[in-house]
Amino acid sequence: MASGLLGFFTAMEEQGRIIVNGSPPCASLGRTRFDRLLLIGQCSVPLCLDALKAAIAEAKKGKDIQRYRDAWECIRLAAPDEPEAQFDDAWVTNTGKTNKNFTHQLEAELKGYKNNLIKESIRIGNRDLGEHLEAMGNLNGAADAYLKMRSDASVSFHVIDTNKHIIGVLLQKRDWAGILAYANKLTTSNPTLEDTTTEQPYQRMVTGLAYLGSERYYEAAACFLDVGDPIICQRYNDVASSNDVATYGGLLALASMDRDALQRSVLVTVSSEPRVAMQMNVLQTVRDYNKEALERLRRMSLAAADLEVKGQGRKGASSPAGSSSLPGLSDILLEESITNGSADVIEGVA
Amino acid sequence: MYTRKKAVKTAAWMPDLAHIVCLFVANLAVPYPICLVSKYAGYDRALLFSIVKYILLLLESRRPCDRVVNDWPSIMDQCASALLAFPPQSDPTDNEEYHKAAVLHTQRLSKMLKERPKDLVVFSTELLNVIDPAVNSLSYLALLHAVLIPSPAAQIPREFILEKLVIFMMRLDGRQCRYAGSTLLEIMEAVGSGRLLPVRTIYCEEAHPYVINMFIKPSVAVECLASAILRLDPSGTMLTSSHILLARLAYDTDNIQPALPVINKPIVYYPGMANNTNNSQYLCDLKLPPFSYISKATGLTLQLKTAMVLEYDLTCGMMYCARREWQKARDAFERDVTFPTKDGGCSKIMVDAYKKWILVSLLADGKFQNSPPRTAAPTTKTFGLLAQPYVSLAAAFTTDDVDQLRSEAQQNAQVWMEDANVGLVEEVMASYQKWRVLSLQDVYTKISIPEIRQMTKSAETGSVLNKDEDIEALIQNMIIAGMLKGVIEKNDDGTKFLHFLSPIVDLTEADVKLELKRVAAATQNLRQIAASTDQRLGSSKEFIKWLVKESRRDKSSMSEAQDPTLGFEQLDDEDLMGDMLSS
Repeated sequence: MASGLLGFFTAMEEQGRIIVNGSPPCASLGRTRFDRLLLIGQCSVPLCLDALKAAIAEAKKGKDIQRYRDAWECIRLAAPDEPEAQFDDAWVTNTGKTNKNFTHQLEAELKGYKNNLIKESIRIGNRDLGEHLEAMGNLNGAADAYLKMRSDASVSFHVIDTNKHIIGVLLQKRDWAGILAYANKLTTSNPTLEDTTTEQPYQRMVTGLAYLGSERYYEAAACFLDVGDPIICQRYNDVASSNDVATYGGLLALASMDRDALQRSVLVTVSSEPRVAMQMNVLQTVRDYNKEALERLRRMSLAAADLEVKGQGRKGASSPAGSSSLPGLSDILLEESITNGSADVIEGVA
Repeated sequence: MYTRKKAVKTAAWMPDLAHIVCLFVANLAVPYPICLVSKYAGYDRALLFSIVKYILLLLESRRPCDRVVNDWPSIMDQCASALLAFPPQSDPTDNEEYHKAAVLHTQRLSKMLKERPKDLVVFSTELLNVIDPAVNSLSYLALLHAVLIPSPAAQIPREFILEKLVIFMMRLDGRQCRYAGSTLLEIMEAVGSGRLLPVRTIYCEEAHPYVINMFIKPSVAVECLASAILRLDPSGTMLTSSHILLARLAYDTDNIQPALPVINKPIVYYPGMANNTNNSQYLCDLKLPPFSYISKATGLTLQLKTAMVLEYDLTCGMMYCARREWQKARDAFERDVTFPTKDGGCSKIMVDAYKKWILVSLLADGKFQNSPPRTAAPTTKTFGLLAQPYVSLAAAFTTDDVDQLRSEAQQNAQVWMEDANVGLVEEVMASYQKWRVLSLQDVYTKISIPEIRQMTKSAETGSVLNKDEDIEALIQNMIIAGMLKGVIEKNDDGTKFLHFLSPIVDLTEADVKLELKRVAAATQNLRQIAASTDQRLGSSKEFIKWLVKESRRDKSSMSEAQDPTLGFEQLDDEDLMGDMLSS
């Protein structure tokens, strides 16, 4: 390990961060990509440099200057010799300028919409502004903009949309209590079946994250386990990937639930592994059933053909003397000729 | 004799030809050359010569030819037409027609066998060439029987008959042979005795390529018998006297592989089952369960004795042992151990099977239970008394105490010797360490090789292995054999680790599908067996009596106004596997 890296990780460890020596699963998706990359860069020894470089590239693709600064700060400590460790002043000033201009432009447009009193346009204008501010890293501004969308919402879909935007900002602000409040609002609006199937995964996921953040692990586990259709989950990869849901759901359930609850809610729902196992179990059961049924039929046939071994009452079995007093020994001769051969064959094979 | 004189006389002026012709004349088994020679004797040399050449050619190829058939003596003509009369040209699916024709034909054949067996023997060479064993199985069988029973006819080349016999056994028509009765049984017994067909020599070189293949394999008799058994009863679920012959022959001569198709089939029926009334069904009905057409009455099997049934399973078990298929061996021995008994009876074969069962279940599962479920209580007691050394050996096997195991094995060396189980005990001792390694996965998911070496001891030496390489080789062998699911990984500092894997991971989707299909087929098979058993038992006196009694009781209970649903409701035949099969 390079001395720079060692120093960096020592520093990180002193900050109370976790250091991982193995390689993590690569599930970097959606807008959480930067966060994940940065986290990997801060934690993982083998992937540190690559992850940090990728994080810088990812940050430069966006508009958030603060993110770039964070990533740069890390790589400056970890590997000062890398080209990425040079602070890109030009990009920062440039991006800052563009951001400012674009903000002004959006605000001006919004003003125009407000003058025209077209509700939908005002809503969209607010949304665009919010999204821009969010991308810039101005979370408070973004939250304000999104909040303004509410007054112009005309259908329930708009309300849900607004709430989702707000939750997205709150997630980045790590405002768990706020998320819980908004997540609850997602469900109150008179749900149809379609709404439930499409909205429930999102709602459960964010609620689960909020509970997880506020250290209420049992509730979090319950939420993650209740997520539902994994295909719909995939639409919300910017919140959490279905992989995350399964992993955290499983871990939390293990940590917080008792065995019965585990059996009931975990083994029956999450992931396909239990399903495969169940299928194999069913196969095995059918196989055992077949074997058992054949055996029973066989015994019935033996009885029908009157082929049972017949004894002379119990005296043979209870006598300790052994073979001489056993009934049904007329087959000694036959048996000897067979068993004598067995040792030869087996030894021959061995 | 006129023919003979003339032929020899004609040949006198041509020494080479004379030699050949004399040979023909002397050989009564080849009558048609004589007829031809005598007929054309007065004609010129060239013609005669060409005729003899033609005959030679014919003899060489041994193929029937129209011209020759025309010249056959009338007796042979008669025989041939009689033999070729069956099967009829009419629709073979019509059971009634087929049955009548078959019965008539068998009567004719037995009459022919009785009245002029000599003729059949004399002409058998040509007749066997004309008749197709797959089409005219009954006639072919009758000819073979005439030639082979009681002993192979001296005047016909032995390899020729045996070649025909092999072809017959491999290709006989099972449906036709249901009518063959004791004739077929006698042939099977002759083959099963191992005297007729070579058990392990290459026999003749100039034969049908199919037959040459057969003869190069060292197990003609076993393979023939197995083929004939399965051709007669494709389901293979009925134990016959031929099965027992086959098992004995295969085991005694160590030709296990060719017997497996028969041995692997689960036995469900036994000859001589009660209530086996054939409800005016025709023997040739292909839907019949095997016990309806294979019985003492149809002559296709002998009545079996209990000891023979026990012997069959014991022999099967030992065959699997020789092939190291421990699970199957365990199942076979288990059939003997749990054999139904009456009045506390116990056979010595059962005790022997129990001893082997203990050893084999150690090899198959690494575990030991006192006796399989379903063993009768008095039998269990007998087993406990008679197989004490085996039980203590098994108990020691499942612990880490290697010294105990070794002392058990050494103390009772005499016992193993007497029971002829030395080989199995050695196998058990050799597998001890493997099972110890396997038991580690109850505790560890990953464990280093040196640790395994320290923790497991070999039962053969009583101490740990000397080198890490040895234990690694042992583990590799276990992985290759499929006994252990795991991989050996190497760490950065060079230490090797054994990583235990979950037992279900390595099944692919295709494997699962295949397995599903197999299980579905097995279940379908089981349904057929259950249906035919139902039918058999449904027509028994006891069942009908019980049914009448039940219906009477039903009525009386109805009149007492009880809940009618308490009685037997009509059970729906739920088709659980149907969907799976159709998909």
